[in-house]
Amino acid sequence: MPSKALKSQWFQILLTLGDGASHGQEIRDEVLARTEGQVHLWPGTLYGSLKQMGEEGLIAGAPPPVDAEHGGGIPRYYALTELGRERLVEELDRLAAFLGVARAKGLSSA
Amino acid sequence: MPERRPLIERVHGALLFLYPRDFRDEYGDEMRSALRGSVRIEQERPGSHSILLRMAWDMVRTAIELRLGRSRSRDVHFEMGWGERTMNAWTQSMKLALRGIRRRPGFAVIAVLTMALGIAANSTIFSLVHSVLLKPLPYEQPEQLVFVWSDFSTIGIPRGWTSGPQTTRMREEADLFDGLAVLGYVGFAIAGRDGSGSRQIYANRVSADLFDVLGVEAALGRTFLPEEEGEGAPHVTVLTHELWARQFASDPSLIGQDVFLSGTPYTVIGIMPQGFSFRMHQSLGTAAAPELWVPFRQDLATMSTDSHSFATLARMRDGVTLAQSTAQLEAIGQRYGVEVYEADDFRLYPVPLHNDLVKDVRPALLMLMGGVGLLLMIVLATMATLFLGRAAARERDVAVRTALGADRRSIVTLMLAETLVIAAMGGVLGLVFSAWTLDMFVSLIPNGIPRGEDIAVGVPVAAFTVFLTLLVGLAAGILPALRLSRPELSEVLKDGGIRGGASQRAQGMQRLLVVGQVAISVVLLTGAGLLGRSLLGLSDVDPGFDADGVVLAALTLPSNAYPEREDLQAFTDRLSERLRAIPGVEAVGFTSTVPLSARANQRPMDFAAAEVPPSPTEGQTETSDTWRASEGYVEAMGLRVLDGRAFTLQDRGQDVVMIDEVLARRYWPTTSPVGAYINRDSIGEGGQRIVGVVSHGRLYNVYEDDRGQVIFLLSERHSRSFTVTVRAAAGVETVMPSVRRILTELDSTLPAPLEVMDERVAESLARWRFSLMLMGLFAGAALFLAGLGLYGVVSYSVTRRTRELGIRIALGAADREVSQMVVGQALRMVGVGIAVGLVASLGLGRVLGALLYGVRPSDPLTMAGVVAVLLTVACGSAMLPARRATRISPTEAFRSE
Repeated sequence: MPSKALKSQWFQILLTLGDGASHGQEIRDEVLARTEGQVHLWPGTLYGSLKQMGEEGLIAGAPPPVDAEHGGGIPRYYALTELGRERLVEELDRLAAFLGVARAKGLSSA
Repeated sequence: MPERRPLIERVHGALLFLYPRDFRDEYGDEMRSALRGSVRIEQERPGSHSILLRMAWDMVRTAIELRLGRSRSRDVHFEMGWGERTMNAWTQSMKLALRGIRRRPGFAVIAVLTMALGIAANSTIFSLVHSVLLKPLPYEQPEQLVFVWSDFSTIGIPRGWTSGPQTTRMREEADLFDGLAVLGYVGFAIAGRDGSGSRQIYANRVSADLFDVLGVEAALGRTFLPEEEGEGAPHVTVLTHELWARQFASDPSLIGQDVFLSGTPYTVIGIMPQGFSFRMHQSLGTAAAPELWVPFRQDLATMSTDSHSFATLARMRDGVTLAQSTAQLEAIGQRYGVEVYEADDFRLYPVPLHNDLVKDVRPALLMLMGGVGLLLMIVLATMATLFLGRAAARERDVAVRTALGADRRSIVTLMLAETLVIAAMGGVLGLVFSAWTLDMFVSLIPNGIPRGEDIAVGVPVAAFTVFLTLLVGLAAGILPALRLSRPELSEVLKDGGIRGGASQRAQGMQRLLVVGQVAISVVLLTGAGLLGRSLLGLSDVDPGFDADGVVLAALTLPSNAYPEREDLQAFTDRLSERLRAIPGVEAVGFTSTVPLSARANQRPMDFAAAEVPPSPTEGQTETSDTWRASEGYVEAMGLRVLDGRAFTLQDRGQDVVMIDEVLARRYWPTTSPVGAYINRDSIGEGGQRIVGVVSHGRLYNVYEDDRGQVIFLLSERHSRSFTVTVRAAAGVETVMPSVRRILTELDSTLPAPLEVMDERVAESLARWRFSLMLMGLFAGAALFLAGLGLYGVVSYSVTRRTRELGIRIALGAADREVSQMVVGQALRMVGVGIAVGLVASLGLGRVLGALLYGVRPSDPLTMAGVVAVLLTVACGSAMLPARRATRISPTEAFRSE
């Protein structure tokens, strides 16, 4: 049975953290670039999501990397937790299942 | 100086407070820095818009989400502060309130509409009151500006204009003032630059320092220089922005060019800013705003001491009080009086500009404000009744909850949240409606209202509305909320909430509210009734002339086209002849002063040769209103000849006058004044021979004006400006095209807007009609709400008494008895309300005083009418529940519990 869909902005954040820790504005910039400008995580949505995802145990605070660049204060870094990674993989499987169906119907060229 | 942050960052900073505090502490700084990035992203994006709104939406949405998420997991969360807890309780309550509204939309619609009605009326009237009475005048330090008047109370003119020599004296001696400007009125015919579109305009002749005293600069060009005033000064003029736009298509090259004012070229030196106007208050009658200004071309100091035709505007120095300047002006006036009038009781006195401008409309506006205030109280009572009813219906539910341990505060919060949500919805709806209909409302405002042109729903009006909304929301909610929070548990649970003592108290409170609503309705209805009676009385007043069928055309013959007196005479003779030839025209005449125009001169006349001459102690002179008329005018205006005859063609060149009935009664009480002489110049023998007595045609307004009038013969010697008066037996509509055509044929360059005398009469009553219309609307709305409230209470009481009524019916009570019982109960409430209301109405006299005409505040007919209307509405409201009561079937009544 397919699991329940993740909120799209949560999915984007988890996906961004998939290859290592990152901070708020970096996450926003990467999501913006990946979606070609279509998904802009405004500050409220961004930090609200980070807060809630933290409370649900999907992400956790992480030490900043040694080469982190920042002007002024040190931004908070986040990394996936085990639970977060599981939910991300579940979501990707769920999407992949749909993609498989679509391919079988000849709807997708991918 | 610290740099001002951009708006979006300030809004962001404010909205951060929507979030729970711990979140704010944790993420606030990062959010602030992320905001800059987000704004940059949006700004670089092509076609991005409303960044501020999207940011705000993002924050509001996520803040609510975080708070709701929080309250869901409340028990697992750390200890919250008081503020947090309260916010959470409110958020929860708001959610519940919205759910409640969705569940019972009918109730919500009634409550919201009631609220919207009250708020719309209040914000509309407040926007009027704010812009007319409260908003500072658009001049520099307007509180320092005063008008200076001459007190001629002894001859019936307490607010007299000043003369040139008086103002010169004040300029020399009054050192408490920074400037003293003088204004007089003048009429011009103005045409477009190509000579077309000529029309008559109202203008002011002013001293060169007027705009300096006001502290206002021209938007384009400049205002007057000192050397542009006085004898031999160049012809220059400053225009209003509106005239410039309308007549000259906002052409900026007009500065330095000539415009023709009644045929004389004047150089335009400046255009005032948009919306700038300055009304020179009339001594008698109402203020009018000029369309352009020209400087005096005479020296004020050498003008006649008898000619009082100027308004004086002065600016008090910094720190000078009104009392100080009054004392100084009175001293100057007294010295001047002794020297010039040989009387020691002459007085000059200042009146603050703002008070002076709004003096005439203040009573009406305050009355309207009082009217909407009362209406709002009824709305409040209606809201409270509605919510009390709702609370009563919920009593049992709440009792159960309380028994299960819900705390009192959460119940109060829930009730208040509901009323506040409904009040807010109604408030927003009302404000939107008010803003939406404001243009229509403004168009209904009579012309005479000063500052009526800049009425708008602005920030102060919106703030006032928010304040009222919160006030009503809280006040209407607090009663039911407090009641609900402490129902006697055992009683309610035992009784099924139908006959509980608590319920009975709720009913008592509802009845009290209905009594209050009825009482307020009585006051509003009485107010409207009294105004209505006044208006009826005014319409019946004999104004001394017969406006029906009279067409007017104001003409000014320019000196370039009509240089000689003979030219003027030839024109008027030809015009009169042509007009008389129109079929259906009965009479044609010319006058300097049309009734209701307030354009007469006030001058002392000598009645020494009268049957009863004025006694020397009364002063040797009495000022009368003087004006001029040609032969044919008395007939054309429908003035009645009471003695002697009207002017005829044979009077030309003779020194003859007519007087009105007021003067005839006063000075010739038993004999005929015809053939007697009066003297204009109060000196020497002879004077003017009286040929006739005519009815007193009211000059100022139709309701008050008993100043005597002397009518001189109008001839070409006197003025280039006069009004053609045509009486048409055939009706104004049928002759107007011919009048217009003849005027154009005789001189196509003359502006000749036609007017109908009937409309002038209607206009002079416009303020009453306007006040009456609004009071009528308020009273109607109040009556409707009171009826609704009564219906609600009676209907609920029938439901409550279902079993009792069922038993009575079972025991054989007739339908009539049952309905009498129900209606009787309603009438008892209404009776008490009417009694209270009638007593309160007796106080109306103080509020309405100046607005009433020929009717006393305790007018029995009005009161009887009000009582009849209320009883009718009460019976109507009670009838439906009464009918329902008679149809109660006893078997069902027993089953109902």
